[in-house]
Amino acid sequence: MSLDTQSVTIDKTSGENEDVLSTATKLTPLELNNIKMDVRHTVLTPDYLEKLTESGQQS
Amino acid sequence: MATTDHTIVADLLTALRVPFTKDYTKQRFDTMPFKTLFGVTQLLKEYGVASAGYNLADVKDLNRLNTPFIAGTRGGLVIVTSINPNSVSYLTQGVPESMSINDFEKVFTKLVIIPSVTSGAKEPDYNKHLRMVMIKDAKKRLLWLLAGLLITYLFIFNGLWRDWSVWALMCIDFFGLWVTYMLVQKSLSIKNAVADKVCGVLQEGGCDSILKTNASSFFGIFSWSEIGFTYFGVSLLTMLICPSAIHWLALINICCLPYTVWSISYQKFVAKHWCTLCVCVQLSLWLQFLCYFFGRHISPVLPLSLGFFALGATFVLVLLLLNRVLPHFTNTDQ
Repeated sequence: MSLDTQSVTIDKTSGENEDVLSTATKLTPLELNNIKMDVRHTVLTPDYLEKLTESGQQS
Repeated sequence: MATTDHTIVADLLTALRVPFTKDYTKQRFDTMPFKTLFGVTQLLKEYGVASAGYNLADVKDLNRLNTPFIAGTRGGLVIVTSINPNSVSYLTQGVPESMSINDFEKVFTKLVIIPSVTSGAKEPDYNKHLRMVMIKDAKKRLLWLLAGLLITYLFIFNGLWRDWSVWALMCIDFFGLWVTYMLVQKSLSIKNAVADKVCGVLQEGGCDSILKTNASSFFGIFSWSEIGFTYFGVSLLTMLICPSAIHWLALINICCLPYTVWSISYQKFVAKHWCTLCVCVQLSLWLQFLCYFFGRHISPVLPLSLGFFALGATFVLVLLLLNRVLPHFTNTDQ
């Protein structure tokens, strides 16, 4: 069993979630199947993500 | 750009505190028929975790969701573990990270996967897998314990402890084995966070740059990392089992010294990249030479006896075995 845990509070109330999700678009299985997984297991550090944003803005 | 062996499924199960074992979950993730978010939701179902995907109407709706959940970013998927007024904390490949809310909103793609844990959710056959993990751990500990005891016994029984130079030579052999092991892993594209950290000392990405060149192998037949691992391994075992062969080991070490000059020159003048691990190997070879020299183990060895050729054959045999076995460990995920 993995013991690497980050402290997480699992919020059991779903009321606020329902409010947010009522305005969201639920994805169909086909749409979910179009989103490919990262098989290189890249660690998405804040610096890496910010560089992606900058390069996206430049292009 | 760092990579690890973690999976998004394992990260989410950790955040949800659903019992699972790393090896089984990684194996299931790697063999998913659909390597997509649909595949992930199907896999999570096996663990008793229902999930659904949504595109949020507004990026700012992120702040109102209950954690943990999977969020899509420009770089890929992360597990958001907590959101407070100033920052978003998330798990990425098992690594906890944190960003300001504003910065996270810039990279967030509005895609979320919301999990829902059913009562009693856990990995299928969890108890059986946990037993296997414990047995595997116990086998590994026993292996290291017995190896340590055997090495200690031979070190004492053969009187090696009396000579300071042998202490030093064995320490360098262990160090060299560790360094060349990391080099072998890198050449097989096996991720090692420690190797990445050490490689970054002289030059970021230097090890990877050098290992990709033709110079990283001996005429394309054996990689230098395999040769190095063989050298330090056989040197250590020979010293333990047959200490009288130490002057032959010294001779072999002297024969390796020109290689160190070539390696450093190549990195400096041709590749113009420094491989920290490779430099550590060169340093180890020179330190060994100094130990052989000041320990008075360098002596006239001509004419060479059969024992020297037997030692040479041992080096070659181990190298050939390693060369045969290592390709089975290549990481094909890259």
